[in-house]
Order: sequence, then structure tokens, then C-alpha cells
Amino acid sequence: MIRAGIRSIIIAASLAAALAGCDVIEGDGIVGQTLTSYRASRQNKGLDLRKSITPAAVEATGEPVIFVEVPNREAQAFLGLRGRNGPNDTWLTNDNISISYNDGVIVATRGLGSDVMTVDVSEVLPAIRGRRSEAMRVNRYLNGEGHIVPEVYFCDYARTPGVVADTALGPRSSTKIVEVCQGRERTFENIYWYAPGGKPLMSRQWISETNQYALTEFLNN
Amino acid sequence: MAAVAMSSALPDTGAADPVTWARPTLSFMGVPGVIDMPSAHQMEEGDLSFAFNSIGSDIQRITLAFQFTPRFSGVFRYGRIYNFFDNDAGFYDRSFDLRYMLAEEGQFAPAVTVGLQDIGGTGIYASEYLVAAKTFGRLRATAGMGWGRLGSYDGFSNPLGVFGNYFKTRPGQTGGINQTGRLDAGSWFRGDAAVFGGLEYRYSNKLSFSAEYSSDAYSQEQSRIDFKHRSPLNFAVNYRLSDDFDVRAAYLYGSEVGIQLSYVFNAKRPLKYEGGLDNAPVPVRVRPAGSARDLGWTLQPEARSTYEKAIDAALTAEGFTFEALKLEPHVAYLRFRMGSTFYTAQAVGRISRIMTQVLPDSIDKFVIVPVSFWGQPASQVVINRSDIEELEFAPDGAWETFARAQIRDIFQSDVDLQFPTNTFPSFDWGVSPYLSMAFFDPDNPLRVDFGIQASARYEPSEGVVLFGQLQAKLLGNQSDLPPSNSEIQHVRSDYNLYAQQGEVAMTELTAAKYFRPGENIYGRVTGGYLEPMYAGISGEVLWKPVDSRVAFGAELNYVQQRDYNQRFGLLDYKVATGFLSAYLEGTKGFYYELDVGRYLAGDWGATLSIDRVFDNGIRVGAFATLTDVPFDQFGEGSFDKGIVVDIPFATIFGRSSDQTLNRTIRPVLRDGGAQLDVSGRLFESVRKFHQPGLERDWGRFWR
Repeated sequence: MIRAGIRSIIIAASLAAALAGCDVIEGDGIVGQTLTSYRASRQNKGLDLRKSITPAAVEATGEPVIFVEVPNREAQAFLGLRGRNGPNDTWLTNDNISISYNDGVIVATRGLGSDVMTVDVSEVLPAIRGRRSEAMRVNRYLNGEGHIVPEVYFCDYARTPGVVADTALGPRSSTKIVEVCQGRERTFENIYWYAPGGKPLMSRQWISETNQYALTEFLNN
Repeated sequence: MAAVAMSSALPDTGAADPVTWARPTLSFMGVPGVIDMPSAHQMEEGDLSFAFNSIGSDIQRITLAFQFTPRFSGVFRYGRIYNFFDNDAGFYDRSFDLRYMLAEEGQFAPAVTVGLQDIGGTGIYASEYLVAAKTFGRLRATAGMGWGRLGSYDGFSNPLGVFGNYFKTRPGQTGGINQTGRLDAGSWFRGDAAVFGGLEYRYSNKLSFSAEYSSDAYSQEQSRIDFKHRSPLNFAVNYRLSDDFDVRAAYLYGSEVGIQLSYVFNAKRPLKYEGGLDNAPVPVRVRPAGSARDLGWTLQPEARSTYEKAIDAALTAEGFTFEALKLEPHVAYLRFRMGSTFYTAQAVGRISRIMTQVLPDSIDKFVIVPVSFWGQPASQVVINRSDIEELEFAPDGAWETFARAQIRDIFQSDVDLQFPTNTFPSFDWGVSPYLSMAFFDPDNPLRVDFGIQASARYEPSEGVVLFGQLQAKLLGNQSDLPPSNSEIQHVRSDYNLYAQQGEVAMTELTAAKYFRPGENIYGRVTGGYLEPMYAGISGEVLWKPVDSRVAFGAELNYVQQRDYNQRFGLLDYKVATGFLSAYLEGTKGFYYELDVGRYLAGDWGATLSIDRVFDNGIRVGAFATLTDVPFDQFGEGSFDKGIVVDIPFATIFGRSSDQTLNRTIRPVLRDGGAQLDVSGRLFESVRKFHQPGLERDWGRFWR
């Protein structure tokens, strides 16, 4: 029922926008598997959505699509682009879980539970681009009382050009960036692979203690 | 096809963790303690602990404890001792404790706590203690001095006697075993004292061992039941099954085996998935540059109904109830009810984003009007559309939006929102199971009725609510409750008759009008079958400025007692009852309410309620009422008092829900100090929409 929610909003928005004569981000029918259905199907059939990724399948979706896996939650999904705000893109699963990226770096998740609410990437993005070698990163979370709690990390970066990235669509030439972040409570290590043109190819990025890492494949890049 | 290596850097949460003293073990009195003796450390703020234990076969205790602040905790204990009286199967005892930590543990200084055990019950556990504890690595040592029961083994003359002979003798218990309910302050810290102490060794974070020297002689148990106090030494092992559950076994007093299971729920961390599991919100739609000047839509004849339909569909999909939309060239007014959602700021945040998606680009300002559950517009939240566009991904976006939003009373607003034709009349109904509980009947300490309830609600126009509810009992044993022996008018104590004869009961059938008599003022008039036991008319006025933490209210009711079968008939008893109330949302999550007035039995008095309310909505509180009914006429308990626990489903299940788990637990339900239980009381229904309530929620604005 709620699953129909965002779709109907976007349909409603299209209607209203059509009247007003402006554009909205439209779309429907992401490759039809969701986080929740995957949880069930993995137990039953050992299905791995990653195996269904082929250039033809990506082509057939007819819209931008990414693939995300959160191993600690035993979850996989394809996500469609549903929001654009400046450099931040918000991608959504069929069952309405969203992840937002700024130039390939996760800046928010919603609907996973223990979501990262915001990430201050003002130093992280230049570091990823090789313009600085260390950065302060602030991830913000909600605590059990609904208060925003910042977690501050100090991160070091190592760039290695000319690495072959083993993506779901096959090997790709890439620049690999390893980001090691130390905070008061923990240390995590994010890994990013960018195509020579600068577009993100894939990554492994820390979300939160409960969720641990998210693996992303930018299938159209 | 392992595209990404997952081998490195995943944190290891394995066995080699250093030993921590994160949470104290609970004693057989259900408070932080060594084994049967209390200790000096406190639970974590917000911990609600339940301990169930049995000592031998004859002594059982259930303890509910709550850590109100880092230093202060309150305890309610229900104990059962079999064969305590010759002619009786069991003795039931209700006791309250208070504990206050005087000093936290420092590098050299120990933690020090003072405790008052059984301050208001029958006095069987009455004692006071001062206890200190110091941790040395894996070992924690506790030493204390007790008075009363905790001064009963190997006691010595009270050292406080240096301050006067007052302390040297402890007066006998006030009154007999049924004469309960008064604070025995006159005997605190008086009479012989004794020392106790113990050691706790934490082998790992799961397993710990304890040994103690107890100063409790168990005199009453020795003389009345088959309990042998052969040694003051107790030994125990404690195993932490999980973060929440502990199990412990003990060898007590050289004769008995004790076992205990305990569970701790922290009100500040009710769910593993913090922030909850609600779906992602609709993303913000950012307007293209220059588009805000396009007012072409205002010329479209069907614009209003088209936008109304789109907003209605979008709000409904997220669980809200849409009421009205008004569009001006640059401002949109939207009136809604929370529907199945719980947190106001989260609702306002989601609706703002929906408005960016749906509404024309020329609209710069959103005026969002939340309407209370009972249909009263409670405030207006004014948000600039450009702020929503700018702050969606701002690192501190939640507080920046709060700082830029304006929260105002809706009364003064000259907005005339026209309701779409489908808003009123509105009809809603529901069927759900119900569970009612009656506590502490000596023959059966927990009596439960379970059944099905059906409710229907009809709102013919704004602020007019017709509401009815039927309950049909399926099974239960509340009708076997003993008959009332109350000496005063039976205004509540005929509960058993209502349970017996109301197998199918009309628990409520009312017509109510909610209105706004003026700025900062809210009004309600309710008539009909107000609650299971009373019918009549009830009126209330509340003064509550939108940014205020203080409110004042007045309520006046004229009611007649309802027939036990809870259909349309009435009994003879009629009464006028009413209160002047003051409300304060204090600091550090403490809420206070004082009601002064006339109660259902015609008695005059006052009720003080103090609640610890967490920003997620969980509430634990206590209340007490003193009226001009003399203690001996009131009967067991002497005056009305109790504790309240309120846990919104949203906090424990993580999904939006307007349901809450709400229990009021009274040691005894009598007739003095009883209030009418009418639906739609104003303070509770509007406060979450006012600035203090929104501020507490605002972290969820972007959730």
C-alpha cells in the first residue's frame, strides 16, 4: 500500500506539473526486485541479483539505474533516480528505501533504519578528487530520542590510478581511492573506483553501525 | 563475481572485549545490588527494569524500577509470601523505594547512594540504607549501613544516636497490615543499625560471581513461614543472556536457593534501528531558476481542484489525512491531521517535501497547519520553500530549518481555508482487540479481560465529533474481583460489577464540540456517555500559547453514574466535579501537572503528577492525590496514587503508528480522589503541535 505511495506522489506530481507546464522526474518499473523480496528469496532460492546484471538488462530498464548491496542486512536492490538537488542525486528502491550520493559519495540514506541523515562532504569531495590528502568528515545520525548526533571522523586518502575495477558489468579501467576514517568510536575504510572521465563506477561505503557497509554499482557510468 | 573485496576492516565484535561494568546486576530486591543487599551504582538514565524472582518456594517478588535521572530512581515492588498468615494462603505486599546517588564513583572515591526501601507500603520491607561501592578492575566492593529491616541482623546502637535519642529507637509500624499507604517518615533512619557488604567479580561481560554479608535477619519470615536463616552469607552467579536479559541463581542465608530473571528496556534506545524504519520521504523537487515568476497556473480554471487532488493523494499515501488547501500566488496553506503518524516534525518535514513536488513554482511559502486528533487546528508552521530546497542535504539541515521556520498560533491568522467537499462530513471506524488489566487482587494479582472493540467516529462539520465505542469481552476473569468494601460513595470501586454485567458494553457514546474561543485559548464541550462508569456533560477551557511551556486549564463536569451493564441506563448518583489545572513542561524531560478541585465522590483535593517524558514520546510517571477523605475512610492505601507507563508503538516497532501502550498501575483502586475519564482533554491533544513539542521532534524533520 505504502509501496504505491511514492509512485502515486510522482504521478500526482506529474499531473499537477503538467498543468503547470513544468518538468518532473518521472519513471517507474525499476528492475523488479526489492530489498524485502530479496531477503525472502535469498533464503528460499539463494538468488543473487548481482548475477542478473548484464548490459542488455541495464539497457532494457530505459532509465538510470544503480545496484546496491548491504551485506550486513542481507539486502540487495536496484534503485532508480528520483530526486536531484544540486550535486545530490537521490535513488530509490521499489519498496521506498533511498540513498543519496554527491559525486559518488553517500550523503544520506532513508528507510534502512539507523540511517545516515547527512554527511558533511565539504572536505571529503576535494580529497576524493586528489586535491587534498586528508579531510574531516562529519556523519550525522538520529539517536533513540530523535536527536541529531554528529560523528566526527578524520580521514586519510590514497589514490591509485590505472586499477582494473571488477564491476558487475565486467572489468573497467579506474582510479581507486581508499578513504580511511578514524573516529572516536570506530574506524572504517571506504573504497571508491572512478572511471577515467571522473564518473563513479562502484564503491564500498560505511553507512552506520547497524548497517555497516553499502556496496554500490553505478551501472550506467 | 565478488566485485568488491569484503575481507578487510570489518570490525570484529568478538570475545576479547575488555570487561566493562556497563550495567549493574540487580539484587533480589530488584535494584542495583550485590545479591540481596543494595549497591551504590545506578542503572543508566531511562532504564526501565523488570526483575522476577523466587527465594525458596514461598517468597516471590516482582520489581519494576525506573531510572528517572542519572542519579535518581524509583522502584515499585510486588511481593508474595506464602503461608504468612495461619489462615491465609499468601501475603501480598506492595512497596515503593526511592534511591538517590549522592556521589559518582571517581578515581579514588567510591560511588555513594542513599536508599529508602518500602516508603509507603505495609512496612514489611521498610528500611533505609547508605551504601558505597568502588571498582577495582574486575572486582567491585560494596559496603553499607542499614536501618530498619537492613539493620536487623547483628545490629548495634544507631550511630546517629549522637544527634539525639530520637534516633535510638524505631517506632513500631504505623497501623496494622491493612493500614498502609502512608510515608513512614517518622521512623526513617531510626533504631538499630547494621553493616552489610559484598564483592562482585566480573569474569567476563556475560558472567559474574558475587558473595555478600547480609544485614537482613528475615525475622518475620523466620517466625511466620518455613524459612531458616542459618547464615548471613549469600553467594550468587549472574549470567547476561543478552544486552537486555539477565538470569541469576543464588544460595541464600544458608538454606534457600533463589533464582531471578530480569529484563531492562532503555527508554532512550527503544529500538535497534534508531530513527525508525519508516519509508524514505519524497525527495525535494528544486525549481528551475526563474520559474517562480510563472503565474500561468493561476489562470487555469480547474487549478485548485487539481492541486487538492494531488496533495490529497500524496498525503494519504504517507498516512496523513488531508483536510484543506488554499493557494495564493506565492503562498500555500495546507491543513492536515497526523493520521497514522506520530512525530509532528517528521510529518511537517514530509509534507513540505510533498509540497515542493506538487505545487506550482511561484509558491514561495508553505503554511502548514496541523490539526489535533479531535479536529482542532493547533498551530501553523511557516516554512520557506527555498529553505527546503537549500537545506535538504545541509549537514546541520535539521536545526537550520528549525531556526528558519516560524511556529505561530493559528487563531489570529486571517486565512479562511475552504474545505473541499470530501473533507466533511467525515466518517471513520475501527475494530481492534483490547486488553484491560486489574492489578493486585490478593486472590489473583493480575486479572485480565480480553475482547474486541469497535469504534466509529463521525464529524459532520469542523470541530464537531460524534464518537462511539463498543467492547465485547471474549475471555477474562475481572468479573471475579471481590466486591467493594468502600465506606464512601462507590465511584470507582464497583469495578467488579461493571466487569460482570458489562460483557458487551457501550464504553463511550458522545457528541463533542472543539473550538477556539480566542488567541491561545482552546475549548471543548462533550456530552453523552462519557466513559464506562459516567454519563453527563463535560466542558473544558485551556490557555496555552504556542511557544509556552506553561498552560492553565479549567474543567467542569456534571455527571451521573452509569448502570453496571453499560448500556443506556443510569444509577442514582449524580455529582458535579471539576478542576483548575496547571501544566508545566519543565527542563530535563520532566512534566508537571497539578489539578485542584472536586473529585467524583464529592471530595475536594489536589492531584500532582510528575512524568519523565522522553523526546521519543515514552513516558514514565507517578501521581498522587490527597483529598478531604480521611485516610481511615479511604481504606487500604490511604490515598490514591499510582504510576503511569506510556510507550508509543512507533518507538518500539520503528514504524509510524498512532497507537500507544498505556498502563496506569495503582496499588489499589478506591473511591477517594477519583477523576472522570473523558476523551479529548485539551492539553494532551494540542501540546505536540506547539513549539516545545516540535522542537523536541525536530531532528526528525528530514527523516
